[in-house]
Amino acid sequence: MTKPPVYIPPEPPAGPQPTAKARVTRRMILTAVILIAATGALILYASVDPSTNLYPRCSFRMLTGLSCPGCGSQRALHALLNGDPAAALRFNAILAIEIPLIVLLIVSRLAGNRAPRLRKFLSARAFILLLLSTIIIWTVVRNILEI
Amino acid sequence: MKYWIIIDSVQKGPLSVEELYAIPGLSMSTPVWHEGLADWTTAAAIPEIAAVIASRQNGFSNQQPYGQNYGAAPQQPYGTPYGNQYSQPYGGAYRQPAYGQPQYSLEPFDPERMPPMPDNYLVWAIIATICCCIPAGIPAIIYASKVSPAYMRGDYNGALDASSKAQMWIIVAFVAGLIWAPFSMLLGLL
Repeated sequence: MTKPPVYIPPEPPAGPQPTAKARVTRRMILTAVILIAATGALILYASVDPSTNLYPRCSFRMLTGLSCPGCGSQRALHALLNGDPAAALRFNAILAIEIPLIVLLIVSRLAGNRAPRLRKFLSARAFILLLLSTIIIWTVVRNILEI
Repeated sequence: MKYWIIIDSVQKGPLSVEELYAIPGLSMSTPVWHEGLADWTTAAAIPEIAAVIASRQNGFSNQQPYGQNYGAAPQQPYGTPYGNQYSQPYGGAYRQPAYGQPQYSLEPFDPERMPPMPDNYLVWAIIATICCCIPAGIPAIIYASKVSPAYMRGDYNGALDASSKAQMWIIVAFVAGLIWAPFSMLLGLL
């Protein structure tokens, strides 16, 4: 019986390809910068009250006099970091949805292909448009009720 | 006729068509050789084996982990919908010339060969709306919502386009915020 010839695998596609090592290193630097900046911001927001003049103000509110969906986030973050979730909710209620959502998105991203259904759900068009309409409705409601 | 195949760099053979039917890893791109061939070719180029793969996905799609990937694909002409852009980097390695057969007509539509879904940057879009850059945060969320549907349609370029537009609006939001912040702090002191 004849034997099959030696199999020569096809050539991989040509062209410069970044090595895994270089890619990981750049990502690691970026991750480290973001983590350090986030930690610094958290310490600052925990220790200094944003009701004072030291913090940036909302451009939308200064220009229109209306509250934007994010107004109150700085004070809410300060309250939350000082262990007062009730006050945080009073300053900006939509953070009760957005903070858990951000955590969930980060978890989904870290899980990668291990949680495909979570990832599919969080990236679905219907889900994101629901989120967008929630933000818009919240903006209208908070300006009517002045909260 | 007996066939030799290579799956995960391991050569198997000689195998009959019936035996090939029982091998789960067999796909259209699996290297195949039989007596009379000068060199290895792919399963897609040998009509008997292509027929085995095609019949298996109809009959055994529930048991076969690979079966679903090829659903109704062999009939589909290669080149749609992302084949034009990605046939070179992703499909090129598998397409060997094989004794003059119109092999492209049997090339499977393989989602595993499609690049991973582009990021929709939803986390950053949400942070942008919280950080008071709403006019730029809203288009970022709208483009974020377009990434996944385009990808699911097989429109990789559409997904990539939505992804880069979401990214652009997030950058606009954060740059605007960074420029605004010192001014607002100064105005606050007045």
